[in-house]
Amino acid sequence: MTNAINLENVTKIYKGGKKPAVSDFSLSINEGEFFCLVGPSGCGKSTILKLIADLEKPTSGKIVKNGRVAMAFQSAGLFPWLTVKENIEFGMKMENVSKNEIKIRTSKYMALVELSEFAHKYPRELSGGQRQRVGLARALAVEPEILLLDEPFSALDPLTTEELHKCVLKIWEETHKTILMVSHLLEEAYLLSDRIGVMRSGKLIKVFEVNDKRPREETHKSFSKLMRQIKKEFSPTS
Amino acid sequence: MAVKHYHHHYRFSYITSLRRHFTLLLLVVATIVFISIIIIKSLFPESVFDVKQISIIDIVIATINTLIRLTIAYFAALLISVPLALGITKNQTLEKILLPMFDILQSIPVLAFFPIIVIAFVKANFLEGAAIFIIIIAMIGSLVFSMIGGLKTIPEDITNSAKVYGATGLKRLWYVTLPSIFPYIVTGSLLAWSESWSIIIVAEALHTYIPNGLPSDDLFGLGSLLVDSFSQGQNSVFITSLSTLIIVITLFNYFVWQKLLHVAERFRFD
Repeated sequence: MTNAINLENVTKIYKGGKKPAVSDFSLSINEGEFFCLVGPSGCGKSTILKLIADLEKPTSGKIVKNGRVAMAFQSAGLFPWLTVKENIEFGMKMENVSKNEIKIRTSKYMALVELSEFAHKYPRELSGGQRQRVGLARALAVEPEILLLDEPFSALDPLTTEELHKCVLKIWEETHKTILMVSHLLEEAYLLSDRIGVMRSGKLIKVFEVNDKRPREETHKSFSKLMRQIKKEFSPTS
Repeated sequence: MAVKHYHHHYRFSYITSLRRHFTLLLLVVATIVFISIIIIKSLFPESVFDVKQISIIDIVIATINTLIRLTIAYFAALLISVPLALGITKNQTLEKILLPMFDILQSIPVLAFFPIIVIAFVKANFLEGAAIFIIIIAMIGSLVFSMIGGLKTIPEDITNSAKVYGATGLKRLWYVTLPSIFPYIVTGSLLAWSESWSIIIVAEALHTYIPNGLPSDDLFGLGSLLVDSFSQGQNSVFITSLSTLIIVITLFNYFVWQKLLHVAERFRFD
C-alpha cells in the first residue's frame, strides 16, 4: 500500500521555545486510511497538522505528502463576510477553478454535508455543528487527496458531535480520502479511525490498530480494552 | 415596515430613526444660529445680519470644494495607511521604529507643522496641495492605529484557512486581510474624518500662514468661508456657512458612517 503521508524524524522548535513542540516524530499514513492522533493538550498534535499543511516549517526532518492537502479547523475558520456558498467556493476561487466547475462542486459538497438550504446564510446565522459542516465542505471542494481535521468537534455538544461523526464517516466512505484527525477524545478516535497514534510531550509514543467493524459502539468489549491500553500510555510513568 | 439595525441591535424603524435624526439636526442648527446671533450681537452691537449677502451658489460650491478636498485626502491617507499598518504588524523592526514615532507625532497637534508645509507648497505654487497634505497627515494616525488593532486580532484559524486554501500575496490582501480589518477601517475612517473637519477650517484659510498673505490667497471652501466671512463682518454668511457645516457633517454621519458601521458588523469575528 502506498503512503499518503510520510514523516521522518520531524522536529519542530518554535522561535523562543525552550522545548521542542514536536520531537523526532516519524509516522507513515496509508492512502485512504483514517488515522487519529490523540494526546493531552499541548502535546504537539496540532503542530503535526500545521507541519503537514505547510503552515509551519519543520526545524529538522522530512515530510512527504502524496497529494493535495486541505484542512478543517477547530473553530471552522470560516470567513464571516462570506455566505455558506461563498465560503465553500473560496479555495476553488483561489485556485482559479472554472466558474462552471465551482458551481458543480459547490452544489455537490453542500449536498454531501446537508447544507444546501443554507447556501445564502452567513456563518453567524449557523449553529456550531453547521459551521463545522461548512468547513468540511470547503475542504472537500478543493478535492484534496489528504484531509486534515484539527479537533473539529471539540467545541460541540455530544449530540451534534455524534451527528458530525456520522457525516465524516460518510464522507470518508464515499470519497476514500486519507484523513488525519487530531483529537483529545479517545472515544472519538475509536469510533472513527483505523489506527490511533498516541502522543506525549511532542513524541509519538505508540500506534494502536482498531480492527472493529464500523459503525462502532462504545459498548463494544474491545473499546474498554483499547482505552485501558491507551490511557496506560498517557501515564508519565509508562 | 422595514426594521433596520444599527450596531448590534435594531431598536427602532429606519423611518423613525431618520425622522429623529432630522428633527434633532434642525433643533441643533436652530440653537446654534440663535446662540451665534446673540453672541455676535452682544460683542458687536452695531453688526448687521443682511440676508442679501448670502449666495446659495457660493455655499454649494464651497461645500463641494471642501468635500472634494476631504475625499481626495481620505483616499490618499487610506492608500498610505494600509501598507504602513501591514508593515508595522508584519515587520518587528518597523514596528519598533514606527510605533513610538507615531505615538509621539499623535500627541503633537498636526497644525503645528502647517506653517512649514504651507511655505513648502507656496514655493511649489500648489496651495491646494498644502490643504490636502495637512488633512492626509491628520487622517493617517487614526487610520493606521485602527488598522493595526484590526490586524492583530485576526484569528489564527482565519489566517491559516487563507494559507491552506492558497490565498497568497495580493489575493490574500484583497480577499482575506482587508475584509478582516474592515470594521477597524470604518472606525478609523470615522475618527479620521472627524479630525479633518476641524482641520479644514485652518487648512483652507491659508492666508494667515503665507508671508504677506491676503484672504484672496485662501482656498475656497466651507472652512475659508467661515473664517473670511466672520473677519469681514458678513455675519449672515458666517451663520449660513456654520449651519451648512453642521448639516453636512450630520448627513455624512447618517448616510455614510451609520450605514458603513452597520455593514461592518457582518465582517466581525465572533
